[in-house]
Amino acid sequence: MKKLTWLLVLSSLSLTVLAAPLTFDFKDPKTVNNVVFKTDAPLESINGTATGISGAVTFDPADPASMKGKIVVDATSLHVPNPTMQKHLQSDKWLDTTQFPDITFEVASVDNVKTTDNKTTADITGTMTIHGVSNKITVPVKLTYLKDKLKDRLPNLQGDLLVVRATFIVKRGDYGINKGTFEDKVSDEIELTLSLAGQSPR
Amino acid sequence: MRTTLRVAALLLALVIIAFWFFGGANHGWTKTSVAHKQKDPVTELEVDVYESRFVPGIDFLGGGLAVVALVAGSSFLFRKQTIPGTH
Repeated sequence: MKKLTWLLVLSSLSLTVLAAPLTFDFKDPKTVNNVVFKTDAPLESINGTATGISGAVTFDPADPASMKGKIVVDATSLHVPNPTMQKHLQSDKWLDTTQFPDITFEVASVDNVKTTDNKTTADITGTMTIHGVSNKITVPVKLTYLKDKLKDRLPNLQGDLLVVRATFIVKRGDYGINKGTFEDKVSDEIELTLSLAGQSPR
Repeated sequence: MRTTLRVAALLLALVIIAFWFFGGANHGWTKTSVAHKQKDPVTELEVDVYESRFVPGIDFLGGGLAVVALVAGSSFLFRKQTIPGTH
């Protein structure tokens, strides 16, 4: 009887370990992780990319709705092809990256989860902080869980990958960035496209 | 001097227009870097990788042609050379 009890305890423990959520680190040594922003105003269309991504997300492939975590974008890594525009973008007139170097998104809840094979779509509600101003927003995301694929990217490591894709719109006015002004050159609506891969080494 | 300045302005205009046109006839602002897409084979994520390259834009074209106009305009500050005995 004792043996059976021990067996049950051990098997339940191993199941707990197997079902434990994995922590994915989004600091990408290959610097592929990026956020693209687009503004399409009547006089100008501006595209830029930020590659300074970090943060961590806990994700359970068996229960994607339990996802938690925070993604951080280094605002100083925002790059646009025109050097004058780049200076303006990071100046205190716009993003003020000296005072607010981080753009963050922290997951609060996950809804409308649909999973097929290793792909999950969901609506993630969380707190977006830009320019020191926080707003609650809901973002539609596509998640792809790549089990044991970390070694294909980083040959010395065993583990899993979590790919996150999302496209959504934020209004710069909601974040205290020149609300209601210069809209002929920089639209109020900014389209953000996230292409991120997190790694969970074992 | 008038003729020299006007010829110089014309040549400068041609050089500026040719540089802008063969630089890609970019209708946007001047760029000092150009993005090209790179795809990660494992995650299939795409990223814009920037390489340093000067691409003249309409600000370069406009500024250059303004200089041309100044050079050509300054030619009017010089008097016409008159050959003695023609008047």
